[in-house]
Amino acid sequence: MTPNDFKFIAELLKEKSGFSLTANQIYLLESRLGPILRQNNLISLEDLINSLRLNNVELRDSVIEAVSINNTRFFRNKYVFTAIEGFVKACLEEKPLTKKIKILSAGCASGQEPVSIAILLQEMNLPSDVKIDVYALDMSKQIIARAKQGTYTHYEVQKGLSIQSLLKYFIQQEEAWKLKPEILKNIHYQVHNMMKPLYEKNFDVVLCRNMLSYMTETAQKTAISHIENSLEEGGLLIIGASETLHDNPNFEKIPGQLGCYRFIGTPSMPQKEQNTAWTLIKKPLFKPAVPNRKIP
Amino acid sequence: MKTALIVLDSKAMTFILQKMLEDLGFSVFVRSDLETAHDLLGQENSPDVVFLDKTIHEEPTASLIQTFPNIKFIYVSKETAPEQIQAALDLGATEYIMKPFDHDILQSKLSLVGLL
Repeated sequence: MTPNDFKFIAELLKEKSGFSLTANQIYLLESRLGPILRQNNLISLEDLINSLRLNNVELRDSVIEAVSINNTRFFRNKYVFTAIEGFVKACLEEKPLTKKIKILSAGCASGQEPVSIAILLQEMNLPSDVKIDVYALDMSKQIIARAKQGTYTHYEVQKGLSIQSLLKYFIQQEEAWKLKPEILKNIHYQVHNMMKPLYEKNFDVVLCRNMLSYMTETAQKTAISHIENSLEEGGLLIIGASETLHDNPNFEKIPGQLGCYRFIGTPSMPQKEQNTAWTLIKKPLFKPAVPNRKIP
Repeated sequence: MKTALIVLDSKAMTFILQKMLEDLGFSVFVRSDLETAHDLLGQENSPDVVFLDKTIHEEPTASLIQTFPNIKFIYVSKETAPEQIQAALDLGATEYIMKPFDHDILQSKLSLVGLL
């Protein structure tokens, strides 16, 4: 791949998805584009780039999908799930009349994160009248289509998932394992690019992990502003441990919780609601995570 | 240093698992049968984790597991039918690895039993 070709694809990705590629990711780009060449009967990267220059939208979307897919596993970073568990418990204690818990997994890839959340909430034995809604978004049509099936390989189900959870929540189907319908029905998968506003609102928890670090700073701010518009005041935002919100004043870092922030509202929000959020901040919404806490 | 004991029928699998565990910083013992393994478990430096396979006869395995409640027992087997896995769990296995597996799976299972 010539430096010009790389620059062309990098700019295309930046413009359409906010993803930022650095020059040392040329190898990553080449390895992810290989399967696209085969699928589209293209002979070389040069052919691919020529088609992209001719504004082949379908091909462009395939390239964006291929580059943005990340590896994932069940219950990745146990402390995140401990934080969600603590937050949901605190919400129910704070507002006993809560009838719905709404959680968003942004950049869900093949679904291991939303499935882990749905299993966690199931294991929490929440009151039977509390509805669980896990929304899971990814910009790749292909990966969302796969996630909707709830089918995982022999290798995937052995990464992060205990054998007890596998037997409890999955059904063996030949070589693969399929998530039981009672868990899958709580997860709503949608194709969505975080550069666009979210359709769903009023989330209690939003996870947006290991996605921001691939974006330009401007794109990161756009994605966060969309999250702000869809997150409840006092709600929890979880980003990757090495990611940043760029000193966004609308979020408060939760001490002792890696990547966890509480949304304290935006200045444009009505005064009354802002006061509620500030009242909530005075007292911790949940206890700090207990190290080595076992997640099923 | 954490220690692991391997008691598997397959020499090839024992070799691969030993290398993987050593890579993860474990000190590894290998025994070919349960009786000599039982002796090692009774020692002062008892292993933290034991890898067993399903071909080991059920009765002695169950009694071995029950004798040492503080040791994690991980089955390594090509059996993937839920009822076979459940049988291993009923014997007292802490975790279960379905073959084939890779380094990531081993690491994940050790993490699930609290050893990584």
